[in-house]
Formats: sequence, C-alpha cells, structure tokens
Amino acid sequence: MKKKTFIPGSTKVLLALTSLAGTVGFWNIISNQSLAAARKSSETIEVPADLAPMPTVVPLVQSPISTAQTASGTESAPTTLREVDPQQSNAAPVSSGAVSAPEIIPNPITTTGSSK
Amino acid sequence: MMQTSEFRSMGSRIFVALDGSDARVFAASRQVPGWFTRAETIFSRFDPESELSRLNCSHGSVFHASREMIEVLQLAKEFRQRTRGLITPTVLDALINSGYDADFSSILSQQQGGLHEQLLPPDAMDFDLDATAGTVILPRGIHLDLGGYAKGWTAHQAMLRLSEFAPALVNAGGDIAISGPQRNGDPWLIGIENPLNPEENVAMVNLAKGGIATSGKDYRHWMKGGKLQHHLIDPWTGLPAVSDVFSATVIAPDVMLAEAAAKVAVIAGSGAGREWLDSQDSLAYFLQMENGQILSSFSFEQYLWKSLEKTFQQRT
Repeated sequence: MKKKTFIPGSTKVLLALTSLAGTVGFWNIISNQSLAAARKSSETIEVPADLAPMPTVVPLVQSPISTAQTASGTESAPTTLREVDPQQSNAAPVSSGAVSAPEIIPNPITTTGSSK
Repeated sequence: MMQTSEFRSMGSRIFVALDGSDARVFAASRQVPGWFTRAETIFSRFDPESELSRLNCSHGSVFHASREMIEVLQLAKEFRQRTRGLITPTVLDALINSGYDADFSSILSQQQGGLHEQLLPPDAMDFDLDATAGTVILPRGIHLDLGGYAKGWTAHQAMLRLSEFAPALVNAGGDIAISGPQRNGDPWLIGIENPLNPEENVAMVNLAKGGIATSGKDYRHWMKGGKLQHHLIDPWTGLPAVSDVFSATVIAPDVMLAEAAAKVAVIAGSGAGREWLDSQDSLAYFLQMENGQILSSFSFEQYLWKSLEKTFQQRT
C-alpha cells in the first residue's frame, strides 16, 4: 500500500498567494490595455452619418399601420394626422433668444381732441 | 393712489385726476363739479340768465361784471392782441349765422336753412374793459362768445385749487391743465385722438406741467345751406375757417394759451398758422392735415411717447 504524502501547509499558502497574484496581475494588465484602447478610440472617433440605430433587446418589426388591428379585432385609429387648432394648443410657443417680447403700450390717463 | 372723476359741464366732458388718497384730496375732488357749474352760470351763451347773456344785452351801457368775467375778458383781449385779431370773442354773430345758434347737441338734429351773407371783418369791433372798476362797455351790435376761453380758464382755475392738495390734471373737453409731475416724479401720459376715430390715439405725449389743447373741425360741425359748417370762425370773413389743417394740438405753458394757439393753427392754416406758432416762445404743435399728413414742430417731438414717435416719424 502506497504511503500517503502530505503537502505542507506553507506550500498550500504559497500556491494560493501565487495563484491570486497571477490572477490579479493578469486582470490588471488586460484592463489597462482596454482602457488605453478606449481612450485612443474616443479621441479619434468619427460618427458616420448613416449610423445604424442602437440595437435594442426586442427587435423592431415594421408593420403597416393601415393593417394594424386592435386586440378586439376592430380597426385602429385613422392613419392620417389629426389637425390641431394652434389657438387651442397647450404647447409652449417656440422661442428663440433673438425674438424680443412685444412692447406693452400703456394707457394714457386722458386724451385731448376737439371739444366734446 | 390716483383719484379720478368724470362729469359733464359747459357742454363738454370734464375729467379730473388727483394723485393723492387722503381725505382732503377726496373732499377737494368732490367740489370740482360745483366750480364748473358756477362757471357755466357765468359764461354760457345758451342760458339767457347767465352773466354773459346779460352782458350781450347791455347795448353799450356800463356793465358791472364779476371777477371771473373780468379775468376771462382780460384773457380774451390779450389773445386778440397777440394773434393780431385772429382769435377774438366778438364772433358770436358770425357763429350764430353759420348755424351754431343753440346747444351743439340740438344743432346736429337741425342741419338746414340758408347761409347768411358774409359779415364784415370785426377789426374795429372791440369792447372797453376797466379791470380795476370791474366794468365792461360792449358797443351796440357786438356780442361775445367766450366758450373756448371760459372752458380753458375754468380748467386752469380748478387745477390751481386742486394742486394745493395733490398733483392735479383737469381735462375740460380736450383742454388739459396740469399742475406738475405725479408724486413719483413721472409726467402724465396723454393721448392725442385721431380726429377720424376718437377711440384711437394717433400719438401720446408725456407732459409734466402746463397745458395741452386740441382744436379741430372734426366734432363741432354741421350742415347748413348744403355746406359743411364748423365752429371755428375766421374773423376776417365771418365764416367758418377754410384751411388745410383739420385738427391742431398745442402744448403751452398754460391751457388757455394752448387752446387759443390751436385755434390759430386751424383758422390760419399750415402757412400763416405755423409761421405764427413758430414765432411764439414755448409752444409745441402737432397738426393733422386735411390730406392725412402730420406736421409738427421740432419741440413737440421731445414730448412724444417713444413707441408712437416711430409711427409719427413714418407718417411725416
């Protein structure tokens, strides 16, 4: 019967530390390289005009609105845009910094005209 | 706090503004209608019991006049001299001949009859006034109309009395007397009516003190003998003045002078009228012409409210 040999505890500790140091050091080297590469790319990045839309988790499916059906099976709202009376719109008016507010004409205290 | 009140007197709309809120100011403003009523009993030519009516019937005898009457007659004499006879109170007969023979509201409903013959120039027509004795001698055949003078004078007197209590503005049918700036130091903003649309102002002026008045053919006019008549009589023809000025607004040191000067502009026209106005110190004028054009003195522009100044410049 083969005699069991025991690895001393100090050796085990040494092996564990070596393994940990190797893992950390290797990870550090990789992450630095990634950071350097990211910095380099961000300095020279050029966004192409025809950049594709950012991918989403759920793929977009194009579907003609005219054929869309509601859950109950009835046809959806008409496809044409509804006309909105600008006087009734709650939207804030578009304003640019160059446009000045309309001047307020004060009311005179009284007026002069031919004797009345 | 501004206290304002409005009422009718002397055939015109009267407006009073007082820049104050204490009890004395309120009490003073309530007295103003009484002051105007008192003036009407003296100067109305439509009231046969008025002092003026009695004077006009004095037929050359010595007439003992009230202090108010003496003051207004002195004013009339001064303006007569200053305007070389153009502004005179002795045009009453011409005014009646042209159709202005009753209160203006009743004239508007008549508008018929023939045109009387032209009267002689009233150059020699005058009256004797002894201010010290308080007497007047009105020659036979001469009758006085003190409407314009009396209204401006009454507005001025009311303004003087009210100014003891607060900054005051009194507007008597467009003749405006101002005591001084408002309490906060600001001038008073006054609109100049469009004679073709009184609801609209053609300009606005800032006036801190003095008087502003407008005279024109736009309101007190009527038809007689198929011709358009108005109340501004040319004493040299005895007829309603024919001129190229439709309406004139004048700023002056006091409202009486402003009223007389505005009449000069309408009666004499843009030629002789402006020449006279330019020769007078401290007068600023704004003329609305028959053809729609606007003419003004350089001195008037300093009073114009800024935004309408641009409008005015475009129309000149």
